[in-house]
Parts: sequence; structure tokens; C-alpha cells
Amino acid sequence: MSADIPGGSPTDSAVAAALSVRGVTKTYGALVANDEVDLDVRPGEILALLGENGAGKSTLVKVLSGLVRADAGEVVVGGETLPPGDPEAARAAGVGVVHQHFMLVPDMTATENVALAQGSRAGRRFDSAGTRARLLELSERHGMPVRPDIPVELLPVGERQRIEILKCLLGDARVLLLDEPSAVLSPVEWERLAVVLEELAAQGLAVVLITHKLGEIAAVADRCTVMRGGKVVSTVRVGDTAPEELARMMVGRDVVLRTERPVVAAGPVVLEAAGLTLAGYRGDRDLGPVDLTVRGGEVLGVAGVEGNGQSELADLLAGVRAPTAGTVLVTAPGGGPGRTGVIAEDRQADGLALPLSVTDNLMMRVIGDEAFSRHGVLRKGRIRRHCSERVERFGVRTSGLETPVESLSGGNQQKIVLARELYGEPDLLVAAQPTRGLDVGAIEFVHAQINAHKTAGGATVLFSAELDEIFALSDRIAVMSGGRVVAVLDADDATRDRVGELMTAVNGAGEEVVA
Amino acid sequence: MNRQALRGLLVSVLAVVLALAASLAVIALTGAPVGKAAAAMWDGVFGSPAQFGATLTKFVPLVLAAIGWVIASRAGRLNVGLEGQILAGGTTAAVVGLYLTGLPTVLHLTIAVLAGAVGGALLGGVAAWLWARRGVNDFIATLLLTLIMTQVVSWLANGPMEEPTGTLGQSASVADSARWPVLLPRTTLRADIILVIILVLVAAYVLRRTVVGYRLRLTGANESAARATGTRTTLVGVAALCASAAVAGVAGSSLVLAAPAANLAPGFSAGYGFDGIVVALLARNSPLGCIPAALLLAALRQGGGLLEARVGISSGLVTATQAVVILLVTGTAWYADRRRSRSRPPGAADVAAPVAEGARS
Repeated sequence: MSADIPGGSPTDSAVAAALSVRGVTKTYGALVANDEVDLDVRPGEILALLGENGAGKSTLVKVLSGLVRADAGEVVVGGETLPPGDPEAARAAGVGVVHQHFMLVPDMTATENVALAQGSRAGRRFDSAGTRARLLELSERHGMPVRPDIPVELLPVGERQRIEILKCLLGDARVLLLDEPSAVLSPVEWERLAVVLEELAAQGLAVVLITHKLGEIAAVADRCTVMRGGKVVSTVRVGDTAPEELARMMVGRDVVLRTERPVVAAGPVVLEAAGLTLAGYRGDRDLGPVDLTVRGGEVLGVAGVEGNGQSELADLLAGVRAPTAGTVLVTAPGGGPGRTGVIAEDRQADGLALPLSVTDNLMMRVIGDEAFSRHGVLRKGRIRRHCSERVERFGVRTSGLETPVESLSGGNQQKIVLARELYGEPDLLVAAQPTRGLDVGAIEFVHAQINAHKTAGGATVLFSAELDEIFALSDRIAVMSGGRVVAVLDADDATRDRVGELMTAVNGAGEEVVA
Repeated sequence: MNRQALRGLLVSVLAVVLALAASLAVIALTGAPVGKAAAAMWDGVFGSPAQFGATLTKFVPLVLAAIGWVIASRAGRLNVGLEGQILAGGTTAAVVGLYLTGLPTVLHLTIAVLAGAVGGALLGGVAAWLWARRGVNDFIATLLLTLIMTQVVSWLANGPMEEPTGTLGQSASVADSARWPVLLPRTTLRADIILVIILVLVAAYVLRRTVVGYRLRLTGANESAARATGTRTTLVGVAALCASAAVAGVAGSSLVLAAPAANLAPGFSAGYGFDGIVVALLARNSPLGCIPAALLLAALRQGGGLLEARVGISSGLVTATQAVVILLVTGTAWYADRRRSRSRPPGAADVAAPVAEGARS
């Protein structure tokens, strides 16, 4: 069975390693995604693979799982060299991968998904009852509760992730690769997963944790391999290395991990939400009523386990959705209606028109202004000047103003959203998950922009699944649970434990996160 | 012209060459003399002023229908009912041409063409209303209205609007004052082609250089983002469908007012609305690209006719070779797009915002 890894005969270090990567190189055209990458993971250890977006982590994972054929180098699992570019061989050799975007068939149950992965080996009979029994047995042994008979699309994200892990264990994995596993988890769920990973490692599994979050590494990893620009920069023992040092290796320069929260004298009330209600935001459950007040120069952070109404509240405040009852009043400092800038939670779905150019994406809100069009005809020169200025000011790295936004990196896409939404200094900024999926450098930039907006006297409502982010930026913290704001705390009095407690208070332990 | 557009043009030209070669190969397979067939094709298109004029006459409704498709699809709407809107536009133009008499030519013709645009837009407007207010899929609504319109035209031509003798199953010719003047003597080509070229240029200008065009493109690219940033996307969708249908209506008016018989007959459009979609596909939704693409398809149709008459190749086979051309051209474009997205470095793709699987599709 899976987790009991035969130690192998540790005659030499190459055999002792559960997984070794030797000189793997992979290029895409001119881009060197992996450059002579070396990596070792021993049974029983958790190795963190740290790097920014584009550092080559994902490419390496694809090489390890056989999805991509490397140009050079070899992957050795348990002493055997894997044939390149053969996912089936990699799986058979014991490489289990939990991808960031899960590889589950949404309308199949956990049992069926696991059986599907098993059955892909030639000649096996499809054994549903047996699979279900083994799934439950493993699930119990490792403390990863899953419901085997419900279509996975109805399950919470955390549970789906557990199914992915169990799928690997049932496939006799000896190396478990997890690609950004915490991206979809609440802090509590992540802590639970960390415990499971430590136990799995203790039982002899080799675990590779791919991440760009330093906190996670400090919490669980034994060693950390840092990648930058396709190369391995260094491999260090986590216990001996300060987080600042890891960040510096990852980014290649000094990084301010903790942005200083500027203190700004509170201005007049900008946002006043009263009795906001949205009927049936989740099934038969209502959102609200929510009352919020935010002043100029103030950041209100909204914390909560995903799916407790934050997304809907953000939509209501942004004016994207109409409330069933209640009002959202945005007032400019001088009186009169104020303007709202919005950083959409899913920038690709709601914030950007991906096939259109940088210019087109920057003009969405202002195209009808006198400054950019006259009698309905675009003023190309003015538009071009405006967009160049925006691109320069926000440091968007693009090959040109006519480049389609879909070809930019996530960080640069978000910069375009910021450049558009912060134009003309809106009175209120509604920022939903503004740094989701971004690397450290881009996060730093986004935080600086939010603080600049605050210093300029703007009001901000920040929705974030990252408690660190909430604490780093907020003056006050509203905690949501079950569609209500259960508490608003002063940031100076709030602690992570207190906020975490409030996040799960009303729902109780019985009902955990629902995606 | 930027590099991407140039590349698209190259792909299209290459595809056309490939396709012509392939269709000659198909002809060779049937045992017909290839040289003679190719000559017949050529003569069919360019052989005489009459043939060339006939090609350009076919070009007119094709390019208009294609522009109609482009306008709607830029806004993300699928107007597959161009054929019905052509029929509607032709009918209203015929009504004006037949019954609103005693006007000077310039005025009568103008009103008749405008009536065509309005007729098309009205039918498109019904589909737009169904889509915007009743949630009916635009594809279904426009398509089904076409089926209805086909029957309506048939009934009108055999009933209320039938010519005085009541035996021909079609209307009388419209008043001379409502007919397009002949452009090339001894051909079927009339002056409506000038209006058509102007319409294409206007459409290209509006889509590229105006706020309306911008909002259309934005809505088509991401309706959700457009709505969130202040574009009234439902209004844009309705406007796009109506404008698209109005252009198709003009095509319908031409099919009546510039035809030799200049009357309303059942099935007077003969599938131009659907061929227009193919033209737009060939042009890869570029308004200016519709001109060469429509010329090509018109030439295929016209050349195919002579192929049939002179070489004795069956009409079914002629249609089949045209289908080969269309498949190859669209297939090549698809292949080129796929190659392009594959050659993109992985860094661009793997920074997608995390979305739960299955959340989008």
C-alpha cells in the first residue's frame, strides 16, 4: 500500500533519494523555462519548491509528471530513470501530483474519480466497491475525511483537494507533489492539511510543496529549493534561514515583507452601506443585512472563510449587483455622489477583456469622456498619450499598447486593472482578492497602490482570503460568517486567533468551507 | 497593418491557393479534363464583361450579409438569421417600389433602400427583443424567424402581392423609379455596388474608430467586464443585432431593386444570408477582409455555373468543391491560430487567476 515506502537499500545517495532531478533543461522558443535544474527529495521529508510566477516551477512539475518532455536531463524515481514525456510511467513509478487546478471529473463521485485514475492502467477490471473501501480506509488512516458518493462538483474545495491527495496515495505514490495547495484553502483548512502532510512524511513519503508563500515553508518544510529565472538558486535548510533571506533569493533583490501601514487622519464618511440584503445568495440563504461605514483615508478589511458572502458583498458595494434591499451610498469629500473603483475578484472573468489590447482595456470606464471621444468618434492621439502615461506610471511590462492583455503575466494584468480603476482618484476603492495568484514583487506593488490611495484620502474596502494581507493593510477588520458581518474590530486590537475564531463562529464546526 | 493582420492575410491567401488546387484535384478524380475545367472556371469569372459583371452582382449581397454577421459577432451575438432579414428587407423594399409610385427616381430609390434596411431591422429587432427580454438564445431566435420569413415571402408572392395575371407566383416589377441604374452596360451589374462599398467602409470605420464600435468589441470580448465598467451590454447587444439585420435588409433590397426582374419572388435570396456567414469566416471577422472574401465566394459561385455548363460536371460536384474550399480556408485559419497559441511561452498561461475547476466554461 501507498504510504509505507520501502526504504530501498541506501547504498548510495542517489538511491536514497525518492526523487532526483539531474540537469533538467526545457526551453520554449527563446525562453529557457528550466535551466540545468537539480533537485533531490528524500523519503520522509517535505521539500518546498519556492519561486515567483514564471520561475519555472510549473514547468518542472510538468517534466516530473511526464506531461512535458525535457530537452535534457533525467528524472530518477526510486533509483529508476523515468522515460521522458510519459505520464503513465511517471505515475507507475510513484509520482503523484496534485495540480492547482484539480484533475477531477466534476459530475463523478470521489469513488468514481479514484477508480478512473486506477482503471487507466491497462487490463484492470473496474472495481467500484473495492475502490470505495480502500478510499475510505486510507481516508480514515490519514485523517482526511471525504464523502465517497457525492459528485465532486458539490463538494467544498478542501474536500476535493483531499480526494486528489488520496487518489495519489491509492496509486501507490512515493513522491507527492502539491502545486500551490493553499491557494484554495482557508487558513484553518491549510493548517489541517499541513498536519496531514507532516504525517505522510513521517510515514516515509517524500513531499514536494510548490509555493510562493514564505509562511507555509516556515511552517512545514524541512528544506527549501529556491528557483529564479528557470535556475535553482539554492537549496537551504528552512530552520537555518530567515524568511527575508528566502524572499531575497526568490526575487533577486531585497523585499519589504511587511509594508508599513500608513496612518492617515480619518476623513469624512465616504461609504455608507445600510441594511444591504441579497436574497438567496447561496441556495436559500440570504446575505445580510449588512451595515458598513468607511471614511476617507481608511482601509476596512473584510475577512472570512471563502463562500460566506464576501464575494457577493463586494459585488453589491461595487454596484455590479443590485441588492434585494438596502442602500449603498458613496459620497465625494465635497458632498455629491462619489466615484468607485473596483478590483474584481476574478480579474480575467470580470475585470479584463483578455483578447483586446492594453489600450482597449485601459479605456473601459472613460471612453465616453469628452477627453477621449468627441461626437462618438475616438480621439486616437489623446487615447494613446493617456494609455502610455498609465502604462508607464504603473510599470506595466508589455511589448506595446496594442498587445492583447491575454499575453501578459498575471501581475501585469492586475496592474492594468489598477491603472484603470485608480485613474482620476476614485473616492472608494473596492478591492476583492487584489493579490490572488500574484508573485511577491507584484503583491508589494499592489499593496503600495492601496496605501497610496489611502494616503490620498480615499476610502478602501479590502476583501482578502489572506489574513496576512488583511492585517498588513487594514485599519479596521470586519469578519464575515454565514452571510453576515459578525464583528468589526479595530486592527490594533485584533489578533489572528480572534479573527479566525469569529470566521468560523456562527457556522460552527459542523459546516465547513463551501466553495 | 500590423503583423497579426498581415499573418492572417497570408494564411487566408495560402488557404485559398491550397483550396483551389484541392478542388481541381477533385475534378481530376472524376475524370474530367482539368485544364478545360480550370479554363471554364476562369472564363466563368473573367471571361467576358457579362461574366465579370455577374460575379460582381453576386458579390453585393454576399459582402453585405458578411458585414451583417461581423457587426453582430463583434458584440458576441450570433445572427444566423441574415437570410430571413434579407427576405424581410427585400419584401419591404418591393412594397415601397410597387405601391409608392409617382416619386422622382432619387427619392423613390432612396426610400425603397431605406425601407429594406428598416424591414431587415424589424425582423432582427424581434429576435433582439426575444433575446433581451425573454432570454431566448439569439442563434435560435434568428434562425427560426428565417424559417417563418421564408413562408411569408412565399405567401406574399403567391397571394396579396402577386402580379395582375395571378399565374406566375411572383410580384410585378417595381416602378422604374425605384430601380438601381445599370452601371456596366450589357451586364447585370448595377450602381448598388457603390453604395455597398461605402457601407463596408462605414462599418469598418465605426467598428474601429468610434465609441459605439468600441463598446461593441468590448461587449463581445467580455460582457461581464463591460457591464462592470459602465457599458450597457444588453442595449449594445440589441443595437448590434438590429444594425446587423438592417445591413442584411439592404442586401435584400438590392436583390429586388437591382435584379433584372426587379420583383418579389419566393426564395429570391437563394442562401446569400448563409453564404455571408462563410464570407465573414473567411475574412476572419474583419470588415475590410469581407471584400476579397466575398469576391472569392462570388467567383466560385459564378465560375461554378460555367463549369457545370461547359465541362458537364454535375452541380452537386461543383457545390462539393466549393465546400472543400471553405473547409480548407477555415481549417487553415484554425490551424494557424492553434499554432500561434501553442508557441506562446508557458509563463503567459500559468499565471491564470485561480478559479475552482468547472467554475467557468
